[in-house]
Amino acid sequence: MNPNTPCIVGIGQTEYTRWGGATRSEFELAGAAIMAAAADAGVAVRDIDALTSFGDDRNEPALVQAALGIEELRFNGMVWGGGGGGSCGAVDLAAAAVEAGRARYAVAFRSLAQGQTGRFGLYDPNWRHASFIHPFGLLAAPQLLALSVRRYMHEFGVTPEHLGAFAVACRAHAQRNPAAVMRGKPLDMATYLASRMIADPLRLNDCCLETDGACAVLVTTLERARDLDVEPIAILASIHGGSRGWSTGPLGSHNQPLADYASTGAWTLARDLYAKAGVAPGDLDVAQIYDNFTGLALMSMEAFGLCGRGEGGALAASGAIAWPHGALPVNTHGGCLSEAYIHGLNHVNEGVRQLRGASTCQVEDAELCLVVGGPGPSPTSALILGRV
Amino acid sequence: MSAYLPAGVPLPAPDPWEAPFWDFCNNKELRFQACAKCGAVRHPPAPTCPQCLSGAQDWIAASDDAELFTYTIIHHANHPALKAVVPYNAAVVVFPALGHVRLVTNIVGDAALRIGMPLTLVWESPAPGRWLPRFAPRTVGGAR
Repeated sequence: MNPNTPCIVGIGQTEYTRWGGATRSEFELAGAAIMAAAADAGVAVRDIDALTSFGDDRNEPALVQAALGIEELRFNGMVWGGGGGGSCGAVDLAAAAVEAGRARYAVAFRSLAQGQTGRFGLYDPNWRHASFIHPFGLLAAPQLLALSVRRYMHEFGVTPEHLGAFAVACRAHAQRNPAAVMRGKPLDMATYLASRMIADPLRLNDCCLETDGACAVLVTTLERARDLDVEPIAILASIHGGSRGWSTGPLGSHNQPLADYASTGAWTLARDLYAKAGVAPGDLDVAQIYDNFTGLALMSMEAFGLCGRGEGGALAASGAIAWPHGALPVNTHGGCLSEAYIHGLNHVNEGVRQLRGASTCQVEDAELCLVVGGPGPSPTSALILGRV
Repeated sequence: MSAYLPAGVPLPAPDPWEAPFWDFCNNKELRFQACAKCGAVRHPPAPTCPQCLSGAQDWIAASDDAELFTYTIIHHANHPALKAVVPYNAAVVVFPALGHVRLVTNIVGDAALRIGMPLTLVWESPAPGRWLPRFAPRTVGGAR
């Protein structure tokens, strides 16, 4: 493996609570997650020299650098766009920085304390393309994305039980994860189907959590990783971007390309990701798929080749995504639906745990993990992580 | 004046390049932006044509072939103005004759919603001088 290959050598996270549950400020949570990632890697916090984030994170590098005593900031960057589309994109920026020799120890982080700063599920007057959606009573993501899920179910014969199978699998995985907000609250199909409608066809249990917490990922080159007392996890491929015509897509006027309407639009991104990694979907051992809403996660599995188009529901219902018996367990931490909503950076952390053999739903001898960021609007992002 | 959704729901507050769309609406005209050079229809409005990069614009009248493309029934209101009217629908309407351009809207009346159902444009005023395009079921080839 090329000594310049970017590797994740440290992951950090804070406690996760339901929104409003954090006892520390969002800024303090950011610093805590970054310090935890540095400690995990055995890198001094002052030696971190690049900071990246996404989702309009409020904790600017200038503030973080000052608070954490970072000696020299050599690179920083933010993936534009609110939400989780940039989760793997922030890691992509960090990887690009170390691979290009612009920085030595790059940290991608996301701190999100919705109890302090406003919930994503509430009306936001600054929403992009608001004029074309808000006057019609579409004021938040579940309502807007329910439109896409309805069309998806219509085109491909996807059923409520298909959506429910994804939610039930994530919840089952969360029961083993001490960090998961929904640990101790199991979910079966009957309870799922009986849960109240939010925006038909999306029920309460189709929707991700709203939580407080932070995550961080420390990236360096394989060559530098060799000097650390940690098993490096290689970023075999990382990518962020979007296809023509998607723009705000299903979170805006719903004018994404007609033939791809009922999809996440990540077809070319997925093609390029696998080509760069030199692997195929069939090679994967485990996957962490951004799950803002069940229906979008099913579409995302299709775009990234875990099954054919329109088959995401059948794949979930088959048990293939459920640990321990499924052929390709998905969201082994519980996902945004049942672990926490750290805009998908928690999915990256879980991918690293799987390849270290440290997940609470460990896939035996996992060598290759797909991580996918928030689906739909542009940009979205993804990673393929592998053991060195 | 009764409308499908009550007063207090946020009104259009367009960016400058989107404003002509709403100016036409307030005159009860539904027009989409199209490229004056190559004719491609685009929505939402944008300063340039993504096909040919021309900045020259036309505003062409909506075709009368609207169909229901998809919809949701919203049960959980997340704005105070909407708490009393749940459940309500929101929909995407498609205009096949205009390059399948789509518009987010509501379907008025009590008819059961079905993807593909033909629709006709109706205008509703949420505030003095302001008009919103909504849709009602359209009877095809017969008396209403």
